[in-house]
Amino acid sequence: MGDGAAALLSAAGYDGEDRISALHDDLLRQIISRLPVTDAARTAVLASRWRHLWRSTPLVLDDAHLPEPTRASSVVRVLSDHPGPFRAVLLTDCRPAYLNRELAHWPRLLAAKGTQELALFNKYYVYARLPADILRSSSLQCLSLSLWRFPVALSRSADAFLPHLRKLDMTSIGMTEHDLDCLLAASPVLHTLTLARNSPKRVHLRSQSLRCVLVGVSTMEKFAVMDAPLLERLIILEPPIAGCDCVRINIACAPNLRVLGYLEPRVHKLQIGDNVIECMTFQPDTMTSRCAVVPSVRILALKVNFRIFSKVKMLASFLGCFPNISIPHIESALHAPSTTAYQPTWEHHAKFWEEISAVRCWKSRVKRMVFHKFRGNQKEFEFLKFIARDAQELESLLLVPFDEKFTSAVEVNEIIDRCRCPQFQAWASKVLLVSPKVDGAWNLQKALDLTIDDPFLRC
Amino acid sequence: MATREAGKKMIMLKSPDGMEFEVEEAVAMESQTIRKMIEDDCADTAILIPNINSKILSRVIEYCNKHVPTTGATGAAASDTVAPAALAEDLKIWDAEFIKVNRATRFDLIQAASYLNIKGLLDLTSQTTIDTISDNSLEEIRSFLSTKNDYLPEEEQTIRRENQWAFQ
Repeated sequence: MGDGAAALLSAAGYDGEDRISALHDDLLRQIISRLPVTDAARTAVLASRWRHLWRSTPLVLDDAHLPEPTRASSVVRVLSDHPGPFRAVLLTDCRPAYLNRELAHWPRLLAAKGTQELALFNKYYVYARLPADILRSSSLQCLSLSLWRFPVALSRSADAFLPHLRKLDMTSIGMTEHDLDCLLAASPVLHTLTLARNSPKRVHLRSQSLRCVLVGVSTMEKFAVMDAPLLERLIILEPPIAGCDCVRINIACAPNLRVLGYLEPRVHKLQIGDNVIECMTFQPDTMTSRCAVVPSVRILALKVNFRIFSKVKMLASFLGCFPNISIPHIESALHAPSTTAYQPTWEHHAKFWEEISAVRCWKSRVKRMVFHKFRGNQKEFEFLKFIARDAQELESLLLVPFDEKFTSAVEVNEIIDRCRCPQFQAWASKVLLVSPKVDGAWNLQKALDLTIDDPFLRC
Repeated sequence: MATREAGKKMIMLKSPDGMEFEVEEAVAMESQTIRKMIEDDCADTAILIPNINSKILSRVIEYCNKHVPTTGATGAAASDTVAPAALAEDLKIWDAEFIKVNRATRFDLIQAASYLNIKGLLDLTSQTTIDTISDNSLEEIRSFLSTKNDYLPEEEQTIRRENQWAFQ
């Protein structure tokens, strides 16, 4: 007996009775299913009571838990030895060529043994062809693919059929837009979709079941939500790679879209229906065309460089498209200085926001607002003053300083005092909170979790 | 007996050793087994919880009391003032204290959590066993679990060969 176990025994009120074997099989199987696969299989040797338990427990195989250098051969052994069903098979470090050679029918095997959750990351031979059988695994509920090329152009519904798929994650996949359309059409209960760095430059999303979409647009020219009646949440990540043009974000039909962001005037051209949102002008009639609004959005996140006047004007235009926002998140961003060719003074900003207020472009229903990466410059303050004037229902404004620039609310108050605007001071003292601790890193799991109401509040 | 107290519906739970525990319905419904009984209208009188003695049942109720969601009836304001992360951290510390029990109690709690179908409690109580199995040698695991190796040496060799990849 090792020291570890001896210490455990003395601490644990050892009574010598084999309590764990008295637990019924289902309970032991639950314990086994949560063990790394090697430890799970080894339990067969503990005692005869355990002999058949691992093989009769739905398989959970994560190849990251298998030691090198025998990882690939162990995967082959596990897949062929375990009678199934397979609950989860996560192959993130396996050469497809090895699997093809040693276990030629592995894709059919995964389907035959009822795999529910499958991850296939092909990091060795970039863009190998994805075995066609994977897209016909009718038991799949979660599928995560990375660095594959789609089998052949999906044309008929028989090429893909994923009747139980709820969650799909595709990163760096070589496919056509048509393939993606077919795949979505073949997934009638798909709930959550993640797309990033795939080959289609244009995506026109149509799904009767999707509720949550996370899309990295770095390699895209256009992302359009054409028809997604149940879509509640659209998270846009990854601005285009430097040098690329704008990405067009089009929202044509998403009547239940509640949460949207981050939109970035710098890199996104927003289109609502057929209307491309242009810079705001001051004729009341053209401020917000009635068909160019998305009334369902409640939580909107925007990222803007307050130093570039044209982008600040776009910010105003973007805000005008979402008349019913209750929680805006505004992030102050700095980009390459070369883009700041025209640098108007803060008076330009002050005048701009005053004129916007004067025409009452929208009756703000904003209840709470979060200002991320606040840098404390005058142009940001002019925006806050505008909010103070227009957002009459605002209950709280949370200011998250950039990079611990301000360590306390006192410093922010000092800057507010320097504005010499008593009305704004009074407003700020009522609603302003300063918290340096709110912004954690993006957690994609959380961003996709619909039970978390506001994914942009990262704490 | 289902009674009403200060606007909250109460449920009576009975252990086989005759003890009775009156708990809020919301707390009792942390158990999916009890939730189903209540939803199927089988909870008019006291609910007898077989196989779980009063000592274990009281610990289970203690756990459910702590883990019943604070939103809604009991504390709608909590989410605005306390960050969810802080709340989760507090629960984690509480769980770590809760599970400092001897082995016999822990296995009783595993069984109770399984019968009552309380996922959080089952995860918590199983975790120590899982940690032990993944961190120790077979001999150490057998000692910890008080499991006697009843294989003949040649039987054990056969089983090792069947799963050779796992013993490399």
